[in-house]
Amino acid sequence: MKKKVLAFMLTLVMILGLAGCGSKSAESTETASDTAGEESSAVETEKTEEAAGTESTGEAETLTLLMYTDWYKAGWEALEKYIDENADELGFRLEISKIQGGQQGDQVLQTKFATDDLPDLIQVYKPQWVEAYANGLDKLVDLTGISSTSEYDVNVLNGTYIYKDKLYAMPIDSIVLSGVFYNKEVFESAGVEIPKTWDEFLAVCEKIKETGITPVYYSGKDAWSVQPPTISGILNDAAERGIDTFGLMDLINTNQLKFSECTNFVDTIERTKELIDLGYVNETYLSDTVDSAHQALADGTCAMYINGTWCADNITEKFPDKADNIGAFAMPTPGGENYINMFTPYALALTTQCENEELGKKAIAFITSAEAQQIYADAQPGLYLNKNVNSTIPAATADLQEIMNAGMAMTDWEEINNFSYGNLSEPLLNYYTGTLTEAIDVTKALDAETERNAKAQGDANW
Amino acid sequence: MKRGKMKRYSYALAVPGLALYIIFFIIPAVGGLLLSFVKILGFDLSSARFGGISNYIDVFTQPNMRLAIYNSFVFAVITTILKTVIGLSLAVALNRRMPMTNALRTIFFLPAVINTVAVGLIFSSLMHPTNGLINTFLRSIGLEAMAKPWLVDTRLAIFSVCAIEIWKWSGFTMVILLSGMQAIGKDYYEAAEIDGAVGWKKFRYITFPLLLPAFNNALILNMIGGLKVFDLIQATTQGGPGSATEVFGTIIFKSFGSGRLGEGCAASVLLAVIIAAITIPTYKYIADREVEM
Amino acid sequence: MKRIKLGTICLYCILCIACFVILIPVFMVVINSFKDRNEAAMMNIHLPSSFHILENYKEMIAEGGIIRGFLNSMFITVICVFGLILLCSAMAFVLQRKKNLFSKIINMTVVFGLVLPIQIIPTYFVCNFFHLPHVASAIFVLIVANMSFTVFLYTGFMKSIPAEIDESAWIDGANQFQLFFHIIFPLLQPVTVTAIIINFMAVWNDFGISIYFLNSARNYTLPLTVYNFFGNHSSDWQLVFANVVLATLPVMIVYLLLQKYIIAGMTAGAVKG
Repeated sequence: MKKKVLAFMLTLVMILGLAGCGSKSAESTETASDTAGEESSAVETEKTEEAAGTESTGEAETLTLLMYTDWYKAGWEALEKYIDENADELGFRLEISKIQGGQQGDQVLQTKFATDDLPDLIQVYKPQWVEAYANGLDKLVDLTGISSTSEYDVNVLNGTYIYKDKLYAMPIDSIVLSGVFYNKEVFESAGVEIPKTWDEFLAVCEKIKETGITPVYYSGKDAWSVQPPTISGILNDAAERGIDTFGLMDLINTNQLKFSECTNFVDTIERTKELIDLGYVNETYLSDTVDSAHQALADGTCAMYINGTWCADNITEKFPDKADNIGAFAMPTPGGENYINMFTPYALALTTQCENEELGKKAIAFITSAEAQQIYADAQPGLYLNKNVNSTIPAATADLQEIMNAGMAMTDWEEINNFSYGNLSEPLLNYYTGTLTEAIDVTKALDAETERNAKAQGDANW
Repeated sequence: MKRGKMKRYSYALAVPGLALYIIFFIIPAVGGLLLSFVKILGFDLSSARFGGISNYIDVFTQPNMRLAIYNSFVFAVITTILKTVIGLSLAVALNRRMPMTNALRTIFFLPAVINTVAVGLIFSSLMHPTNGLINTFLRSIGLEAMAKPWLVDTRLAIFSVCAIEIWKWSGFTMVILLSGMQAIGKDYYEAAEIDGAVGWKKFRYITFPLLLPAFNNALILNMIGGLKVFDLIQATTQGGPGSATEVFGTIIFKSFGSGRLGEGCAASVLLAVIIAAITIPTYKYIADREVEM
Repeated sequence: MKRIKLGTICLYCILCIACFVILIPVFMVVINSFKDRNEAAMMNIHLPSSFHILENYKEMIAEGGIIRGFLNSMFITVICVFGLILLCSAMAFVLQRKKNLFSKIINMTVVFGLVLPIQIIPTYFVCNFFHLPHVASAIFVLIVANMSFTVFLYTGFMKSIPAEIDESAWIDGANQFQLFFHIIFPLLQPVTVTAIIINFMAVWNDFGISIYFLNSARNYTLPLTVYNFFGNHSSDWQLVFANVVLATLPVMIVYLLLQKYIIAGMTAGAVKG
C-alpha cells in the first residue's frame, strides 16, 4: 500500500520533473535576476522552452513592469503586442506582471517598496500615493526632460505627476470623470429633463418612480461604488473657499481643516441617504452589484446610476447597441453649482531598481508618446491627456467632457491625502444601515482615522 | 533498561523540520512580537521607535473592536459546534464499505476544495434577497416570512457567514474523524457485539471514547480556525455591510493596510493569546480523558 | 431485520438530501462557466441559453497563463507535500517517543504555530534578508505554514502505535532510521494519506502567501490566475468560474484516488502486538 502511494507520487514527480525542468531553469535565470534586480531573459509564456537556459536573443532588452490586473485591459494588450512586435527597433520589450487590485494588492505593493523588491517600471495610482502609503518616493527616478513631456499640458502634469519639483511619473490610461449616468429613453418617456438643482433632482426622481422604474441605482454589494455619489460635495467646499482641491487637501493634511467642517460634503452624504429614505433607490441595494447596475441602466429598469466613466466604458463593451442611449450630467446641489470629480490617469514610473536607466527612460518616453498612446486609445477609448491623441468616446463621457471644458471639474481629492482616512465606504454603509445615525458621523470617522494615522507617524500638526 | 531505550531516540530525525520551522516561523514571529512594541512609519524598518504598549492600547480603542470581538466569538462557537457535530455524524454514517459511500465521501469533501473567492461569489448570488435561490425557494414553498436579506442585514450577516463556513468545512472534519476511526481495531467492536451492544451503545461506549484523540484534534482545529477566520469573511462580505461582520482577522488586515505595522502585529499577538487561552485548556481537558490504546 | 433496513434507508435519504444541498453551489460554479459573459454576470442557477464551453475554456487558457500556473502549482505543491510528510512524520515520531522536558517544549512550540496566525509581512522581510529566490521562499513558507497542523495530526496518531513495536525492532538490531522508515512509517498510512490530501489542498489553494512571493508572470500559481479575469470595475465571470473549475479538478482527483487508502489502512493499522 505504502509502496503504491510512493510509486504514484514518484511518477508524478518524474512527469513533472520534465515540465519542472523547463520551469526550473527559467526560474534559476530569474533567480539571479531577482536578487540582482536585472532584466530577465524569458518573455512570453509560450517561449519558455526555448528560453530555458539561454540568454536574451537580439538587441532588445526586457524591462519588467508591474501593475494591478484591473489596469491591464484592451489598451495595454494592444500596446504590449505592438511593443513586442517592434522590440528590436525600439530596443526593449516589456514583461508585464500583474497582481490583484484592492487592499490586498496595495499591501503587497507596500511591502515591495519597503524591501526594494521592485520591477524596472511600475504603474501606480500617483506619486502622492507612493509617498503617503509606501514611503517610497525615493525609489522613483526623476523623469524630467524626457521627450514625451512636450506632448502634455504642463498644468495638467503639475501637482500630480510633477510633485515636489520632480517629474516622478508620466500619465498612463485615461482620465475618469464622475457623474450621474442616465438612460435617455427613460427620461424621455417620463417626460423629464436633466435637473440642475437638488429640488429638481428630487422632482425628477418622483416622476420616474411613478412610471414604475427605479430612479437611482445603488450597488452596495461592491462597497467602493457607494462612494461616487458623495464625492462631489467636497468640491463645493473648495470652491467656497476660493481654492482648488489641492489647496483644500493641504489644509486637511496639516490639520487646519477637518472633513467634518466641510459642510457641503456632510450635506451631500446626508442627501444620498435621503434618496434611500424617500424610496428612490433600489430596495435590495445592499446586495446589488456593479454588474447588475450596468444591466439595469442599459435595460432601462433604472433611470440613473452615479459612478465614473468606467461605467460608460463597460456598457459600451457589454451592450454596444445601448451605449448611445446613456448620457451623463453633474450631480445636482441645492445651489446649482454642480462640479464633477476628475480622476487623473494612473502613473507610470521608473524605479531605482532598473539597471539600465537610460533604456527605462526611453521606454517610458515611448509608451507615453502620441504614437503609443494612440494605439492604446484605439483599443480602449477614453479621454487621454496626450495632446496629440484622438479617441472616440462614449456619449456619456462626451457629456462630462463638456462639463470639464466649461471649467466645472476639479481633481478628485481622494488620492491627495497624506494620511489614510480609511475606507469611505465603511462608515458610509454603516450610516445607510443605521449603525451610525448622522451624516456627520461619517466624516467624524474619516477624521478619527486620519488622526490615528497622523499620530502613528508622529506628525507635528496633531 | 528503560533509560537505555530512551537514549536510542535521537533528535536527528527531527532536526531538518525544526530548522525550517525556526527560520521561517519562530524568527518572524519574534520579529512580529518586537514590532508590536514599536511605532513605525509605513513599512520602513529604519524608522522604528520604541512605543511601549501604545499599539496594544490602540488595538483596543479601535472603533470596531467590540463588534469584532462579538462577531469572532459568535462565529467561532457556532461554526465549531456545528462543524464538529455534522462532521462526526457524517463520519459515523459513512464509515462502512457500502457501494455509495465512496461517492458520498467525495461529495461531502468537495466544498472544502473550492476556491474561497468562488464560494464568496456563489453564495452572494444565492443569498440575494430577491433573486437569490434560497429566498426564491422559500417563497415557492410558502415560507415568505423566512426570506430574509441574509448577507446584508446587520444582525443576520454574521450568522449567514457561519452557515457558509459550515457548508464548506464540515466534510473536512468528516475526513479527519474518518481517519481517526480507522485506528479503532475491529476486535473492540467484536468484543462489544459479543456482549450484546448494538447501535447507539456501540457508539457511546466504544467508538466515541476511542475516537477522542481525533475528535480533540478536530475540535481544536475548528476552534482555532473559527477565531482566526479571514479569507471567507473577505470573500463574502469584506467585513460589511459597513462593519457589520468585522472579525479579528479583518481588523488585523486593515491595520496593516493603513500602514500601521506595529498595530497590526500587536493585534496578531493579541489574537494568538486569546486563541491560546481558549484552546489549550480545552485540549488539555479532553486529552486527560483520552483512552490510551 | 426489517427495522435495520428501514434505518439504513432513512439514513440514505437524509444523506441524499444533504448531498443535494452541498452540490447546488458546486453546480452553479460549473454551470456559470458554460455561459456567455452577460449571462454569467447574473450568476444564477438557470441553464445557459447557449453553451460556450469550449470557447470559454479556450479563452481562459489562452489569456490567463493557465498552463504556466498549473505547472507551477503542481511543482510547488508536490514538493511541499513531499517535504511536509517526510519532515513532519519524523518530527512527530521523535517528539512523541522522547518524553523529556526538552521535547515537551518543542512540542508546545510547534503547536504554538497552530495558534499564532502566520505573520506574512515579517516573514517576507526575513526571506528578503536571506536573499532567497522567490520560489524557494514560497516553498519554505508554505511548508512551515502547514507544519504545525501536520505534526499535530501525526503526534495524535503516534500515540496509538505502541512502543513495544520499537522494542521488538531494536531487539532485532534495527537502528533508529530503519525503525522509523521501515516499520513505523507504513503504520502511519491513514494519517499520511489524510495529511497528503489536506496539505495538497492547502498548498494548492493557497493565496495569502503566494501573492507575496509569486507575482511575476513566470511563477504564478493557479489560484492567483483567477484575478486575471477579476477586476474592481469589470470582470469576466464566465472565465473566473472556468478557472475555478480547472483549479479545483486536481485536488478532487487526488482526493478520489487516495481516499480509499484511509480505509484500506485499517487492517494494516495499529493492531495490538
